[in-house]
Amino acid sequence: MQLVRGSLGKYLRIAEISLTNRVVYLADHFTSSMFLILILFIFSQLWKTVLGGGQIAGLNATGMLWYMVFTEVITLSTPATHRTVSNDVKSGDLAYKLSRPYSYILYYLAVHCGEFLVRLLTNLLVGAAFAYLTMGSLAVEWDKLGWMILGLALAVAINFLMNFSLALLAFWLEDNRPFFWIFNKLVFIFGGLFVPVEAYPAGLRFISYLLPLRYGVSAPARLIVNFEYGFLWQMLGGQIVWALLLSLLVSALFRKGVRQVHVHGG
Amino acid sequence: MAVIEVDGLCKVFRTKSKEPGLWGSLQAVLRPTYSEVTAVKGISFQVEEGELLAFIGPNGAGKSTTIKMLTGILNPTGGSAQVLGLVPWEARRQLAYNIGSVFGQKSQLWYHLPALDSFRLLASIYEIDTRVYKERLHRLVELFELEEFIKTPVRKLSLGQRMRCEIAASMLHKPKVIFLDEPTIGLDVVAKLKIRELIKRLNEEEKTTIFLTSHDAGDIEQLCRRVIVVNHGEIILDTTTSHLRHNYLTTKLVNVKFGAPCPSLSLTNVEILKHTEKGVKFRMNTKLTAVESVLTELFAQVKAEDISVEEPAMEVIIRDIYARPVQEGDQDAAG
Repeated sequence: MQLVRGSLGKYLRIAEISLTNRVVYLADHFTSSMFLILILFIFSQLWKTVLGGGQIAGLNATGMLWYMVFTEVITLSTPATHRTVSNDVKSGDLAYKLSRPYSYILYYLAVHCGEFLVRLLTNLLVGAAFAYLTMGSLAVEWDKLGWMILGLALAVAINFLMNFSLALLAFWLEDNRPFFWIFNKLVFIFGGLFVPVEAYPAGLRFISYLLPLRYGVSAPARLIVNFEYGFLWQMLGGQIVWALLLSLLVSALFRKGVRQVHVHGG
Repeated sequence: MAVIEVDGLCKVFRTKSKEPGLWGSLQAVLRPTYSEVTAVKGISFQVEEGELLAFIGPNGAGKSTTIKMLTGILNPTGGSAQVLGLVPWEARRQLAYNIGSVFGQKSQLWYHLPALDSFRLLASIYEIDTRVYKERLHRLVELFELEEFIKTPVRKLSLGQRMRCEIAASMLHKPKVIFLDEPTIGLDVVAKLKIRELIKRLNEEEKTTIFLTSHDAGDIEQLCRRVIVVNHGEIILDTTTSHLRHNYLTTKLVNVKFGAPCPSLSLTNVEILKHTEKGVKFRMNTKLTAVESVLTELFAQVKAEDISVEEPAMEVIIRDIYARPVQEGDQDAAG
């Protein structure tokens, strides 16, 4: 109870205020979700034509569209933390963020979670409605929902850590956008944004398996669409290992960066 | 008891230098060159508990860099410092519970939400007990007169209202020391006076040690008992405000708007800069003539509708400090 009121409580409150702040932009989120409809429409036509009655990685055309609903929803709902950190450095707002009794990394994790939740709800509502109306319903195994949420939560953590390690480059370079642009393209390919990585040719699949990207995008989407215990254990194992490794990387980058960052502004 | 102890503190920034033009940009990419800028050059001073100290200087003097080192945000290049017995850059988080900071040109409040939401968040961040928070909030709302707009989104507040909220937010956890970096910057005269009054009350009623930076001489004259003047990263004067006022804040710029047209005007010991039928602007030296006698002389000749008195710019004060020899009452002086 003391923990909830103290250390953990402050991060829950940060997540809450971040969520509240994003609710102000709810209409904007719904508007930007329209972009999702366009992408899903194009791919629904593509999968119907290409697959017909066939399958890719165990998914038919309907399964593929629902897979894409989840990969797109995760990707589009992930906040642009790299931009916020870059702005902190450029504007000098870092002065306030660093002079508070909290961890700068956990502060942004909490902000990330609050913002993600609002975006997730709006994008999921729009994406699921479109998929349901055009391709039909998805047979979700509701009794496995807890595992799916756990996989999604770990995916959020991994996406945050990957984003934040790039975001921290702003401590050296101020503008981290070029790195994020490249990272985004890598997510498209090795994260399995359009097609489950299991359907890739051997070489590409091998590279994808070596990287953390698919654990943040493809794996949780695949689990929701086609739940298998074997896949679940393999995914959770990978997610936990990558979450630990990325945490160490982010922590080391922050420790090194904060010693030499130039906090701008008088 | 000293709450802030600074000894030979210095900060050198390494910045990339670039020649102008496209060729210069290409060279900077292929063969970057760096130059070093010394923002703070080995300054030393102490601040006693409950003191209201002005740390002043022109833009780029090293004021904000010093504050950032004392709050643990920046690591110094050399020297040492302790705030409340802690080395700021080594124990930043521990120190944060006992200090507060306000950076006049930045905001700690969530822009789209009411200030009250930010206050609740800060209460959680500083782990303030709910009952204590409510009492503290009540006290600050009363002191800073926030009742009227505490539930209004921050983006809809005036700069003066926002600054009152900013200072109140920094006082929520009852810090022992508060660093105010240009808290009156950009404010109009009325808002400035309000903020100054609040800072004074905080210092008197809560015994909070206040470390104030400003380049507005009025802030110092009306608030502080002691003043440290910095320029180019060095302390050029560490003295009492009365000494500063008596020796350096002697020039006043007076603007008078007449109630009725006054084609001719005669004033003793003042330098008239501009005189029209509608008003007059003159410079006077308080060492030569008292403000009161000049105004008496003025009112005998004309009815004034509006009067404003401007302090000398910080650059003028610095120029005067360099121009004068070291005097009794100056602890440190350069030049």
